[in-house]
Amino acid sequence: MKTFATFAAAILLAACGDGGSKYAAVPKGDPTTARSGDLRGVKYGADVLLADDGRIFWAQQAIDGYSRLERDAALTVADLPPSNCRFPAPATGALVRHVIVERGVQDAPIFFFNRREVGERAANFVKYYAATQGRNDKVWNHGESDVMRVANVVVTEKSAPVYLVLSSETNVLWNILAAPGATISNIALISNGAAGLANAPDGAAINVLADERLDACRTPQPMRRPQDNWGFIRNSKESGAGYMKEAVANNNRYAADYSRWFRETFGVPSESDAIAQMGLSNALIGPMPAREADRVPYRAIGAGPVLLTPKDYRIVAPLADYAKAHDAIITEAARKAAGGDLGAIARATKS
Amino acid sequence: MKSIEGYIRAFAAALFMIGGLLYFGMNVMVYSYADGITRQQREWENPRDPLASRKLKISEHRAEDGKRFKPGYVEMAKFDDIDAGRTVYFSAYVPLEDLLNAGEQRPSPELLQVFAKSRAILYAQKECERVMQSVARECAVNHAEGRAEDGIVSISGYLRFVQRDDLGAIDENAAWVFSNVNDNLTEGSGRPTSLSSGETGRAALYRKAAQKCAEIKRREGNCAITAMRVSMRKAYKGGYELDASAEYSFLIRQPA
Repeated sequence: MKTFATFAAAILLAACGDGGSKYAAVPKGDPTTARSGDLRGVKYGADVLLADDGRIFWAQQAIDGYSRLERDAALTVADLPPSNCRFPAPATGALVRHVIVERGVQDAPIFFFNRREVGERAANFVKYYAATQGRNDKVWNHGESDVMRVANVVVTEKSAPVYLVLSSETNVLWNILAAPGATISNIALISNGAAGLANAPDGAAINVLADERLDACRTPQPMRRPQDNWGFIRNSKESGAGYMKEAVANNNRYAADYSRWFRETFGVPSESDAIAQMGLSNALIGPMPAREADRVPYRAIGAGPVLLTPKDYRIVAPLADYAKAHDAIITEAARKAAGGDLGAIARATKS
Repeated sequence: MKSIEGYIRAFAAALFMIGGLLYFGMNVMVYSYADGITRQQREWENPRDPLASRKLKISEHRAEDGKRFKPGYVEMAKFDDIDAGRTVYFSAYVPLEDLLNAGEQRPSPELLQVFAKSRAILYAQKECERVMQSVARECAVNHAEGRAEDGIVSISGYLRFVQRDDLGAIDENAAWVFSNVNDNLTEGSGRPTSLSSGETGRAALYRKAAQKCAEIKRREGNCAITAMRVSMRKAYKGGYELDASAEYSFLIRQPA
């Protein structure tokens, strides 16, 4: 029995590698190829790290005890501070570093939706419920748009305090992994969707502008300038269709608006020195650790409270539990809209 | 005691059988699906006459291609089938308060459209009841839409129905010519109405359609209402008006 236990422990240790995570060891292969193209850019694999000098590494080369996201981890959440529409100007000597993504790559067990979306989804539910005479009582799955995805930001820059600006086009939870000795003076979160922050370092001033607050504060939506490797741009060039050219022009205009606002607010261009990608799991601000011993310790998002923007519905739970809760909310809205009896809609459409 | 080789052979044989059954099942499914589509296509290109079994001598009931039927024929011929394609289209403007149940609060702005959509279906069911007062003996909602704006819900819907009166006797020894007429129930111009009188106005138009069909039946011996449209719209000079039409299908007996 003792032999078996020793054997099992050895297998477990071997599987977990150093640091106790099965993802801690540096993967074999070239990280630059762990990517896939998409309509709005390139999506890198979960273990790929992009440095602010444009180089690409494995996350394990910079993060000690690296792990992928624990999707069912229990999280303690708290609200991010409310926005007052303004961001403090960077102090003299501070290094402004910008990461802008459409999305993270790994799904967190955090989901957001608002009352307007409940109304739209309930209306859709009623439409198909009525069309199938009550046989289709399933709520459409919106997990893909409601989920918050995680991006780790590894900060190794120690030459000056870092003013981190983290922009996202969808719900992103930024997990800050600061190297000992690195100072993060400010963290500015700007998001078209919800915004989240994990492992925020003590002493960093946090400012947020997300979701409906962007409009309320008349701030342009975070938007990257379209690049030639975007599927959407390639399609537009190949088809030459007017509506696609118009879409590209609109995208360029939105990106220019954001860029202008960004420069006025933070004093630097939004993209020329930034890490700007569609799908990104790990970003490196500062130099790559020279030695293995200098790697930045990994901290899971659940290591401390996760700070989130408020929203009408914020569900912190594994996907299956979110889906159950979401469907119950939509069905209840539809039932209420039907005067308390959804069956009445089914009966009205039956012969 | 079986050897490992024996187990592998048995396992491979079982796998082969399961694979074969799955392959067969998939083929049956694909064939059945393709067959269904082919039948539908054939029926659409060359539909069967619902009255074929009665061996009636009917003319003028097919379209110019000689295959498909003229509008209204199938709807008339399948007189007792609620899914034959007879429809009532209606549209209405209804104060939001009129759609609330007793003691029910107005929905929050975010839920206004799902409220409008749901209540449109229930309102359409009540429209069915109005249609059943004069035109139909069976009625169900095909589809209804609602949109709320400024405290008014604009509702439109399609109802399917079986007519209340029977089609009428058709002598199987006679020759018949199919006829389909469209009748404007509001004499070509909108009939003034209001938010509060829209329902009674529409009910009166349904009655009018039923009366006109009864007149045709008295004259020709048979009649079916195969479509109706009763629209409430905003009038140019303010207020609202009703515009309505009905389509009647019937067979005209030819002299012997």
